[in-house]
Amino acid sequence: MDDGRLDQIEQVLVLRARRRHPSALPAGFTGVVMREVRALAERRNDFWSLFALAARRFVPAGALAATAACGYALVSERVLSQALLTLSLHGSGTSYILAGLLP
Amino acid sequence: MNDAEIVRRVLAGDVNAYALLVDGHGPRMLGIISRHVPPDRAPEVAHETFIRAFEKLGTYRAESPFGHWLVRIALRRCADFWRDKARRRETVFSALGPETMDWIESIPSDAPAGGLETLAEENEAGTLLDWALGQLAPDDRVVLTLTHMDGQPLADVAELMGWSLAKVKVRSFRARRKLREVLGHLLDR
Repeated sequence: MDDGRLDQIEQVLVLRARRRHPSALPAGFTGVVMREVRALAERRNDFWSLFALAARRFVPAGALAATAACGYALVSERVLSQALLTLSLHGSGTSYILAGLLP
Repeated sequence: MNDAEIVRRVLAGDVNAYALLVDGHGPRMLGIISRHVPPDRAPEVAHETFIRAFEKLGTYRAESPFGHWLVRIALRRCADFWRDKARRRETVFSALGPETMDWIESIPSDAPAGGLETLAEENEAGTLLDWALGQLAPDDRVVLTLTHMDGQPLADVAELMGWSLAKVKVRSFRARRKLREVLGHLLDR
């Protein structure tokens, strides 16, 4: 490989790259960009409108369902605690009876 | 009204104010993008840059000029352009034709400075430049164009690319070595 020629070619390419003049912006460039930007903004607004509508519609039902679930969990927890307490108070005999191992 | 104020207006809901930014920065962006992608595709990449910038406008902090922030997005779009081409295995510039090969053969090892200027004006120089840059990885191509071709200070390139100074130095050095390798293989044919 001829390093001298390689240097020359590289220099020519650098000169060429520095000479490149940008083409002018196409006519109506801003208009085309703005059309897409407005469509994007509308889509974004549409999303939040839909989100707000869904929230308004489902929040009461969701709150009711959450309250019911919490209430059910609380009652279940109390019943379970009561059963465990009963078992511990009556000792293992009751456990055997409950398990059906003794008459 | 400065750019930061326009950005605030756009974020507050005045979408039409964004046109001021597109008008103000459009020509400069096209100039920068034209150095990194084929000139006929530059307006398309500039368009994508402004759309991307609008989507990300909420992340702009007025600590640095809006123009710098926009150039960073533009350079990323340029690298994405080449990544996309590589993924689709599209060749934007076909293999070098016999005219370009003859032109390369005609370059002497000790041409005077004026002779190089004349050679750089010829169409084959443009074809070879596009072809040689096309052989590089997208990020290498961008960093080489900024540092070696445009002659921008390394610190500026580091800021534009969002890289450390050391990374810019290393990538720029490797990219130039790769370019010389590519041209060297061409001379050895």
